[in-house]
Amino acid sequence: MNDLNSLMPGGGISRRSLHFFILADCSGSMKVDGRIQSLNYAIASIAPTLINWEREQEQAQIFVRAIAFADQAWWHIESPQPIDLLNWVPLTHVEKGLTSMGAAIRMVADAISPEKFEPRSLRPVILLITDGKPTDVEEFEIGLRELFSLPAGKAAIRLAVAIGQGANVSYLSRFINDPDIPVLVAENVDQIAVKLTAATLAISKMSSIGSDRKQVSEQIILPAVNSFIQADDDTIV
Amino acid sequence: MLYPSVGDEVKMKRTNTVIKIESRVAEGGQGVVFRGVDSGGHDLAVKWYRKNKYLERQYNQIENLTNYSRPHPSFAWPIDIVNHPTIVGFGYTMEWVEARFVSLVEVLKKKVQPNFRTLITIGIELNEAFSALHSRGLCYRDINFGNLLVDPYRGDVSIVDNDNIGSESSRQGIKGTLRFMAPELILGNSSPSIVTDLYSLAVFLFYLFMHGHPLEGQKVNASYTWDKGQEQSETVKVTHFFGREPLFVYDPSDASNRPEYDSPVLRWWDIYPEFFKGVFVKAFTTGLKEPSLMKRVTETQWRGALHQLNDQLFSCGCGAAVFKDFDIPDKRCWNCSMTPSSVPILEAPSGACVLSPGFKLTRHHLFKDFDYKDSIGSVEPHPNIPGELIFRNTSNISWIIEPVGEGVKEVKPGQRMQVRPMKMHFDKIGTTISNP
Amino acid sequence: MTTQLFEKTLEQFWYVEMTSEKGFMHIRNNMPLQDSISSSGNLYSEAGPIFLAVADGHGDISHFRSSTGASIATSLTIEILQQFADKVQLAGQTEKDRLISSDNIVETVLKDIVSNWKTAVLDDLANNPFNSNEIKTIEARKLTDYESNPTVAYGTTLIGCTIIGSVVLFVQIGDGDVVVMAGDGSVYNPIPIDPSLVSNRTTSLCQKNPIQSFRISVINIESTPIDMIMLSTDGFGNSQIEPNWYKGVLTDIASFSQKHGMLWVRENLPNWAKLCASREGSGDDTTIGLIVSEHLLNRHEYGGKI
Repeated sequence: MNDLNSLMPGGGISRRSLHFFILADCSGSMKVDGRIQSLNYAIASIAPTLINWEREQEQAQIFVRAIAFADQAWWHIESPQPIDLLNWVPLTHVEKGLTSMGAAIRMVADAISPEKFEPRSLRPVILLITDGKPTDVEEFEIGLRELFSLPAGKAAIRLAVAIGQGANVSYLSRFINDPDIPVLVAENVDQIAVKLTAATLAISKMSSIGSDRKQVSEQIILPAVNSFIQADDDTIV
Repeated sequence: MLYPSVGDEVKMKRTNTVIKIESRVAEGGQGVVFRGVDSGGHDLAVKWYRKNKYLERQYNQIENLTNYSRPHPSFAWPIDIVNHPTIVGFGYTMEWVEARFVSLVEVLKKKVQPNFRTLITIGIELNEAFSALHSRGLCYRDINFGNLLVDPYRGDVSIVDNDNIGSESSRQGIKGTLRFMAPELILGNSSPSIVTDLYSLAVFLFYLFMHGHPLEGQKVNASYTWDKGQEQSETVKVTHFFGREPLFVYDPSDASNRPEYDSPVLRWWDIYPEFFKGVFVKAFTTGLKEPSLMKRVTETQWRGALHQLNDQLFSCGCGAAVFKDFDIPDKRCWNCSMTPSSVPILEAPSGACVLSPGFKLTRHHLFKDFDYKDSIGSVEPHPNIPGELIFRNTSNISWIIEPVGEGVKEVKPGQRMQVRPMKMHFDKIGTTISNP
Repeated sequence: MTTQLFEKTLEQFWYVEMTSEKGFMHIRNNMPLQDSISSSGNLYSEAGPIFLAVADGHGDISHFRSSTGASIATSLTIEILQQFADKVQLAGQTEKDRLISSDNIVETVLKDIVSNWKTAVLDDLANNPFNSNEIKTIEARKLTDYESNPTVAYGTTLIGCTIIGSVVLFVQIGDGDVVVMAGDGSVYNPIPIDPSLVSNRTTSLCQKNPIQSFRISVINIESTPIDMIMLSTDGFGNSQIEPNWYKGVLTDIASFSQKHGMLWVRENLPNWAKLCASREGSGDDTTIGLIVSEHLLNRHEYGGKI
């Protein structure tokens, strides 16, 4: 490949990148009932399925970044880490910390703004993991507006994992903004890899016609083939 | 009186349900376990705590657990605190564990072992149970033979002694059971957590599939000596071989601790496909030395590996159950030493599967959506032609098949088809069956 | 853009090279090559006019006839640019200035491209009505109104370029790149990059009011000479590690052309596209059209790869 590349004009080629952003809640309430452990566990469970997915689909390289939020939002992983080298330092809750989810959304919006976002990358994935609702509701509204005003924000695969029993999912649903994409729970996070298929469909380009999110979810909704108990049939085909 | 007596009645705290104590079944370190019956005649287990200085903490712990919904049906989860009209202290009630559940040690000792499908089912069930627990941020803390009971016939699992379960931040006295304890616990560098549970789970699965301990090989055995005076204390040995310098019996870069010549692990290890052994290698190399969620094998990885293992099981002509190893195409049978004759292979999107009796086709095979629950097809022996197989459509859609040399046919829901080389279509997904 | 020197026909030879390679993901998903490229002109021999058009049919399943849409787009664009060139070549100075004004290009070239494409696509549909598989796809896409706009099935991007004497015209709708190397070796994008074209969205010939999304550029090569033009579909740009790859790529091609000759470039161009289309690159259909001035071959000043 090196030889061929050296005969090729330009600075070389590579697969396109898929940027995966984790927005992780570290508010005070994450302390109870093992919620912060649940969050860390979810991320550790996602990683191997993403590595597998990357290997199998042979098209994109996954890079992970993470934003934690409590009284404010901060980068937990700032420079994009290749998924197979991801070293997740477990997050801990901030004692009595607030839930600055809005600040985190604004931070990710900034990172995928046209000035900063790698133009050739595939549609980004933004995964929000939280046990509750934002305490910075105004920021949350501004953050969503900012996110949805960005081309990459609109196109992003937005997923959410609710931590803890009885988490308030209404804010998460607003973040996902697609009734066909359910809020996940930590137990079925391996399904996130399924949703990523939609992210690689950047090659399957669409005209601006057609509704925005609907077609995305169509691409990730799989046929309903289920188990079906029926009377036995003696035929052997 | 320290404990209730047979014939006494205890009362559940929240619902005031009365439980009559029927018999005393076990006595352990923390207390006594009874069998009780509620007014509806259902058996329940009642554990009554021995008086001790941690009683208040234990009370809070149990009360907390009764507030959670049971993460997975395999847990004999605390249902409610129970009180006795006269005896101070408390107990709690949980589901009665049927006698069909026994310790894995009992199973491993038997001459006739459960078949591989059952072993794999046990592994899958255990893994699902711990996946559900850990997903909730809870840890079990004390995985061992006595707490994880199995039904060697049906493959069901029952996880008892749930009173140590809690979030990592909840304080607990328990450190675990020696052979299942992660190195960092043995060295006292950490307290039980999800990370240490993952280690213990790997040890348990190693016992389940390989019939031995992953760290007990020649090196450990060599430290035992008949020579009096030379003998190291058990504690020193344990700290050394399970804590300070643990070495996997199949460490790829250090062969000095391979299983002893008479160890059953030697024989069992060879039976499994390379990919499956690779998961254990990860669990007991990086997973041994780097205690973190990222370096240990998580349930997600075990889930994929166990289902894949199930997809590669078939019978050699000699009758022995063997695994197809796609990394070693002409791998010989562990029993007759011959290369088994070819078997039908379904090239599913999730990977190649061997079609053999007991194979279940799931959504994951077709759509890679991690839905392993529903069986949408199953393979059975042909009812009329010995040696042939049939594939039953247990899904709600028709399969469209194109057998080699025949026309296009339809296998309706509920119908069966004889397994032979063909193209198969499940909705939009196309696959093939070949018999190389 | 200035047009005062237009009366003079430049004696300049242009080499035109083209390649179009099917992407790895298209091969894997049983999709056709949905890019299209075509050219016309008296290549290798005389001064222009020459014409080049590149189109990238949308890969999404809702645009299930996009490979046809793309090839219709390139061939009719060549025709329309030819008619335009005929007029320009016959016109006097004032008329030429009027012809190459943006307003006129919109009114003639773009309107023609848009309406002829629509007509041709509807003709194709009339001759080949949607088959049962395609109807299934349409039914699954309830939110796309094929009934009122069946051209959606043919959706494609388009880049067209013509050199008529000293005038170079570019028209573009949707993504893909237009890159120019000037006579002084500087490299620029005559049509500014549209920042809204990210992820899997693009403007398209099949959209409502496509003219609004077209971008055009006219360059007078007497005042600002051009040594090389590259038109490429996004399969090429999306493979480049360098976000700002334009300068590096064109400088290297210039250098290759000088050191090894155009024949060598012609032989190697498909390999570059193949690599970009492979799993090592974007995996998408990759099309490159190159127009190289003979002036470039006579210069020895590009410090690119050799």
